[in-house]
Amino acid sequence: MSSNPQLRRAVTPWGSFSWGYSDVGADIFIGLGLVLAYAAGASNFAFLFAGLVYVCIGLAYTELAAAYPVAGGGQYFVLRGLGDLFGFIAGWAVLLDFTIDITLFAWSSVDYMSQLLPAVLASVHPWSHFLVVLGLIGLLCLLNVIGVRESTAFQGSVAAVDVLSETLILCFGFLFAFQPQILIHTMHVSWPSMFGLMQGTSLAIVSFVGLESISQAAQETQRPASVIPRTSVVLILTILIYAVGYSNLALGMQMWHPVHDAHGHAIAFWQLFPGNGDNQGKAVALLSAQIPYYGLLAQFYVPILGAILLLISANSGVFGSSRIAYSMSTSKLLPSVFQRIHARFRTPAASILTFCGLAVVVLIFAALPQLDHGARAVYQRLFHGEDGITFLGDLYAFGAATSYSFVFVALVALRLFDPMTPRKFKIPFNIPMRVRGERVEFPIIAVIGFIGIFSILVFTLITHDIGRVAGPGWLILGVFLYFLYRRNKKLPLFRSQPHDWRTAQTSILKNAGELELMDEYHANLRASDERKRALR
Amino acid sequence: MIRLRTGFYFLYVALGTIILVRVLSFGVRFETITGIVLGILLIALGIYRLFQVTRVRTSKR
Repeated sequence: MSSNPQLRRAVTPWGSFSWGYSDVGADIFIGLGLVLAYAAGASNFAFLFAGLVYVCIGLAYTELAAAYPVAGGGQYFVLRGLGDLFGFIAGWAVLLDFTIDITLFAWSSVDYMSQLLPAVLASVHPWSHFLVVLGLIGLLCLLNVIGVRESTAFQGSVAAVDVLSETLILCFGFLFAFQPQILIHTMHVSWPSMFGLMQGTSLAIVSFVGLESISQAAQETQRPASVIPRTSVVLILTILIYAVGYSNLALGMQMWHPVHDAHGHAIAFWQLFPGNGDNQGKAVALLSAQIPYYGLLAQFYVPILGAILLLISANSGVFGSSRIAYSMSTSKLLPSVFQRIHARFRTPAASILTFCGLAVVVLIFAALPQLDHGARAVYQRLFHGEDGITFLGDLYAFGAATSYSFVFVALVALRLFDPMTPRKFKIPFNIPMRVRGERVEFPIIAVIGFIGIFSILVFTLITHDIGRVAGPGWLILGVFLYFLYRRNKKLPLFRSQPHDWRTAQTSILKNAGELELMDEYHANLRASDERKRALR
Repeated sequence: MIRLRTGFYFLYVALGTIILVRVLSFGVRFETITGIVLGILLIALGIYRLFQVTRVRTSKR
């Protein structure tokens, strides 16, 4: 291994889209069942609320990733905007998210496979389920150590097939299965309690996590300042459409093959999910099989497509966590072992191995209640018997909401205190003002987004027993380790170490091939320095 | 390839229009808001991408 090589720029515009899509696009495969289970007749509203917050997040990430195209994404933005300690906390929360991502998506991938192979993989065989998930995590670890280009090409093809497939499911669904009167009836009869609505909304954010992947890939994307805004806007709208579309369809669909309860009464589609962890993990496969005509084909290929897409998303988790750790390590927030690049494959192999190992630990905690009766009793007493997939969903929502909250604050701070960095894409609706003699623009959308995501964080803490304990526990552990590391290195604990952001930004833009933006940045700096000299 | 993409985004516009018409037949009410938003989003993304694809086709000529 060597510490000199740089990450290679192998990701094209479509590659950048597919990195994001295969992560966020796969989220609906998990999120739909979880949200239907808790938000019931208000699932479409839960998705719409979380989706609007996600649009704000997406716009924030688009602006920041285009302006600062480095591996690290949200963590790096918070570091630049708010300093070392908050940068570490945001990065640590994102690391939790990506670690959970590896386990959650590998887990759900097996759930989708179980739709076709119920005799082998269904949770009635908890050990085989556990071992297959474990094997998948090991495989992804190996794939990522070998290199990014190979997995990007594969992701691109699967993302293309999935966009087509999800669109066709929506088309056939809304043409042949959707009945607006059923939607209205379901929303009237099955509107959840306030607690259920908060729980569902906090889980709905699970369907919108993944833009981090685009900014992760920014350091490996060609001409990121031009590519990132283009891919992000399309990605944001596509994902929002699928989330709102699937939830409306699920609440208002006439099932092609009606399912009956124990008393012989036909049940509504959404009623397949409450209290049924198996169904929650494969909601899109169940929905597509209920679409008239197209369901004949979809029931066979959607479980396979879902399983592959979820596996790719788990792969994004491995990719993302290793890149964030790389970025945090170069900023002296984590030990230098995380920035070592493999001399042959040019990938951060040490980071990949570490976070795949952590994902296995999380998997054991999630699977324990299914594998051992004693553990099930303990979980029942402490966490009201949440099953494995809800356990993972809780932590995923907590990590996402925490890191996104910090990113909004960082966006405001960077707009106010770093106006010299050229922004090829800027979030609309700003208030012009002057700070330290410089003209800046205050982003109103960031404030709205912060209120939205912070309320989702509060919902998560109020309604999720495991998220309430394990999420803050992870953050406290991280801050403790951070202080320990900084003390050993004789670096300031609460304050930031001196950073030369001017040189860093020049280097970032140069490495990204954004030479015009680099010239613009230098011209802005010169003009700013002259203004300051004139004021003296 | 461009023709294929154009057709695909026409599908978005058509689907959005169908959803909007079906949902609006029940009027603008609390329960139909998300359906209306969905229809508008589909039409907006379809038109946005059609403009992008058309621009690429023009620049290739």
